[in-house]
Amino acid sequence: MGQIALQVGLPRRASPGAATVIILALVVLGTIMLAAPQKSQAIPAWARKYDADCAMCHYPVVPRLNSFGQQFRRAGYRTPSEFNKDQDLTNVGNFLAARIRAQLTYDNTKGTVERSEFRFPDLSIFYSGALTRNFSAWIHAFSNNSTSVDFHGHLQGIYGDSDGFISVRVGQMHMLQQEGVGGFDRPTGISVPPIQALTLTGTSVLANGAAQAFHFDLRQKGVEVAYVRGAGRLLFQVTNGLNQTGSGTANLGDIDPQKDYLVAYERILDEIASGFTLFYYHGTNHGLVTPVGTTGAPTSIGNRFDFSRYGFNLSKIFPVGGLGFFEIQGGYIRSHDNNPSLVGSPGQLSRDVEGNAFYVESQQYVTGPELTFFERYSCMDLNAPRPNSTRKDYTIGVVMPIQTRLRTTAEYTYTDNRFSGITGHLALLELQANW
Amino acid sequence: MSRSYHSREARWLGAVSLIMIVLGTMALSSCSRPYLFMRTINEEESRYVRFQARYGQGQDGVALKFAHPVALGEPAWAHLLDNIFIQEQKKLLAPGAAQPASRSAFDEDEKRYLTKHLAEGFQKARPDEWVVFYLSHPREPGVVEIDSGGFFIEEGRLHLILANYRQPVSMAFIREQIWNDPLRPAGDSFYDVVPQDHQTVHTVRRMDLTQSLLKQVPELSIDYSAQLNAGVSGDGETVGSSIEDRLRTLKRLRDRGLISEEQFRMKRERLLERL
Repeated sequence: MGQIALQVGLPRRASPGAATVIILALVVLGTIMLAAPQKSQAIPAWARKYDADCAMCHYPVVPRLNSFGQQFRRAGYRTPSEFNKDQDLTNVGNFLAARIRAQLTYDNTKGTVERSEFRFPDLSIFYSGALTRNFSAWIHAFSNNSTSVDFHGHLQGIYGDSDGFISVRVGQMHMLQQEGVGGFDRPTGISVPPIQALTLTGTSVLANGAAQAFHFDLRQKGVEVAYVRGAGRLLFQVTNGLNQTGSGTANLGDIDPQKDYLVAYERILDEIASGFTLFYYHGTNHGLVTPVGTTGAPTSIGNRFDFSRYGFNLSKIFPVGGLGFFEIQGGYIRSHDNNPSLVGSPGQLSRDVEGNAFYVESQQYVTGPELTFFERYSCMDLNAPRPNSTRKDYTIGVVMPIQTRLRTTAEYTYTDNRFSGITGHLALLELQANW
Repeated sequence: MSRSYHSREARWLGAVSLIMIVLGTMALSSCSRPYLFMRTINEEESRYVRFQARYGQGQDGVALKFAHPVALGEPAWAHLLDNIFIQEQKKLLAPGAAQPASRSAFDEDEKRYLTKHLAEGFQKARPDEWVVFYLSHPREPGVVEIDSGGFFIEEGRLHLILANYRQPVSMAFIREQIWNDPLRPAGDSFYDVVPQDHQTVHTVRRMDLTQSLLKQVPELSIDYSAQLNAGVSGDGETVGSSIEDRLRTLKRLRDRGLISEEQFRMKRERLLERL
């Protein structure tokens, strides 16, 4: 949910000057000097269950997974030796875990007042794990920056053995982002790559202004069938798709009879976290929903259009002597919105929208102090045929474990959005605890 | 100033700051790394016992001076290792769960291996050398369990730093880190060392093995002369107590839940074999 902070800070004001960057650098350095690096744990329930340190499943820091952790998640939170074996459910500590994230933010956005703010983007309770020989469950209750509590979760069935098995998931779940490999896992820093967490086409001219809220970081309701063989996973998802709010989580559920689907193939390339993902998503949406809102079923819908997203993501990690590791990561998404003929502003009528988006990111993990630095460049051309429709984001940051169950992250993003004409700066300092 | 100028400025400053952070951290990191000198006593594919001299970490560049070499026979080492006990930490959110029983830290195969090579190593160890060990076992596909640490003798006491105990490791580079520096903890421990008679446990700070202000590694300090006098001498002869006394001690340990029934039976058989 680190992407929330990034989304909040979209429109920005020009020029922070040297002060912002230098202050950020000093904050990072100061934190490094004051804090003592150490390991932290992701889902401590499983660390307790297996008497394992976080590094058994995570690299370079919690919550991002290494190969063993990826396979553990694919297999419904069971290790290779636990396939087709009964589970002991008596110890609730093996299933129950909590997480809190606290942030100090600095936001300097064009058109808004420069401000700093304390945020609590995530307060979570997890109850998850393998329940029987074949079934497992994931329940996540959380509150983010508000008093409301949201739930999501899924049931998962596994059939086969550790060499090859079929997995079926039913419930409300992440699609690829936060669940995949090759850059689709949880981010090392705070924010998710914008191309995975933000709208990819500039179609705000559509009625309701919410037609293209789709992105890959949504939690959708549906079913997933996957086949896992060795390091590869082929998956197929059928989901409700977007409701009129674009969240995919409104109580109303699906607003039309059509379903969205996702086909993807992902492969883990080594034991750390390298991998790649190929994907294709097809969705259906409506530019007109009456009444507008989230309560009750719509009395009418119209202006149906289909959209698609396809592309790839990959990451490769290289050892650098005994000093640590260097990672290169990136992804590309091609977008197509097949706009209905009756929708659009003058001059844009019935014009389909094509979008291109890519990002590249590098990470440096330093052994000893166990610091991870990351730098990311993201570019989204929200409407390819239209000039000046590009949004660029530049992100740098550092993350380090402080102590068992605790990590801290500093991150800075500069956004230059030519589509909206808004630029700005967002700096985040986050403390995350898991227990 | 134009927006593009500010954009370039921000990027430039960001890049410079980043480079400074990376270089500074790497410099700090390299400064705090110890210089290790190792000599092999015995090495197999999954385990070893070595000499290790450490310089430049928490010691102002001066190596520690231990009371090495020390001649202790294999029976003495067997007895000392027999009396190192470990206990699984009680887990969070496990109401009603029984306190885990303590058990011998090393299994019989590990004891035989360590006994032989610690006896050999301590007879040849230099005053600046630890005798370190690395033991690994497959836990399940893709995961090995690693024990690692080191022994030294100082001021009449045998010290054991148990840096990693039953540490599950799934990535080769972490295995290599422990292999290259067995005194470096790779993560959290889920076990406590349980002191027996003539033993004390405290946490390691003076050598800063963890490169951390917060991380603590258990150090077991053993008055080994007293312990051996209460058990067997360096030549393996019973000197401090009779078999009968030791059987009573064994029964008491079992009754207090400090050793399991299986351990009790195994030890009793070994004692009875000496009759």
